[in-house]
Amino acid sequence: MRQLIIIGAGRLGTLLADAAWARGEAVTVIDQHAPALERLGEGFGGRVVQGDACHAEILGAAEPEAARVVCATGQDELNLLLALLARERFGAAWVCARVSDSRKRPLFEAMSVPTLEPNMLAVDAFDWDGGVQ
Amino acid sequence: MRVEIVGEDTTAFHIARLIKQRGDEVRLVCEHEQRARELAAKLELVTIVEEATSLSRREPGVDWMPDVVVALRPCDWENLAVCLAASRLQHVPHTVALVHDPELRPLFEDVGLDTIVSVAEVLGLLVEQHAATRGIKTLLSLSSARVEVLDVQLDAEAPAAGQRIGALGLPTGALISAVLRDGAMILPRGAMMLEAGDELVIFAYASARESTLRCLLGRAS
Repeated sequence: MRQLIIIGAGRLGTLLADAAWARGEAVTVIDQHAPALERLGEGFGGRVVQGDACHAEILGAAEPEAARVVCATGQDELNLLLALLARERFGAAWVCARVSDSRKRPLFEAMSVPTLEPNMLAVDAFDWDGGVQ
Repeated sequence: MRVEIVGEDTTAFHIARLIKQRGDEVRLVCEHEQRARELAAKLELVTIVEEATSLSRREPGVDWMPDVVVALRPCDWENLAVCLAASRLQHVPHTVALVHDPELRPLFEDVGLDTIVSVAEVLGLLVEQHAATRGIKTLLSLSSARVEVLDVQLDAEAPAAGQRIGALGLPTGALISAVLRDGAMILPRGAMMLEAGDELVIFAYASARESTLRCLLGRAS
């Protein structure tokens, strides 16, 4: 099965990892902080790699070749670097980067890196008629 | 030339000063207002307080478009983003990116950044050149004539220490042009006795480098 690699075990990363595991996906989570990785759900049975994903041996340990890689750290620019690293240097099949500041989207578009924008999704999902009788 | 420097640490300060002294127009981008004021006063130049990776600077049609953007932020991903935004979105002709982790250099090259500087690589090379090759420095390499200018310091084990220059049996193609001893330069003559601690400045064909070093030091590196 094709691997799903999630870099960054923050709120988004762990939520996504638990959901992927529940769906039966082969999933690997990378984070440099051990306490962050402990935030994964009790039932999570995927692989965890502790370390800085900017380092070739850490990202390489997750076997990103031909994998799908979601870069979900708290830093937009770090996510861009990681997505480019996975795609350009490791040949990942598909990458995507979490972007908090949607004003930076043009840069990700220029580099052909798809974005995952939680804030923009919240705006899109907002119920404009909520509370209106 | 218009130069935009993105950074606010000591390196950014000194580079801004250097470039300004050469008569170029410099603009500094800082994230901290107090530091921006401090640098503006010290260097007498324009500082802008803005997130380093913001895309709103340098929008088409703004009055001040740099010819060069130099990214000197503490994180590699900031420098990558600053230079990619400048080159891909704002068509700045030239970018200089500082990369802290030399392992990331190939990625910076792959995405098309033109000038990438790794302090670790530069210093590592210098240390290798000067320290690792005990007592041997290549001062100059004249590639057109395949001639090198070497600086060789004799240690106590060097076969040449305690010998007269005329008796060394230096290979043809090598010439001792000066001996530095106790801070003075001595023009070498055949009768001069070499001592441990002497520094020899030698012109040699690259092909004679190894035999010259063996003759003087008993080793080629």
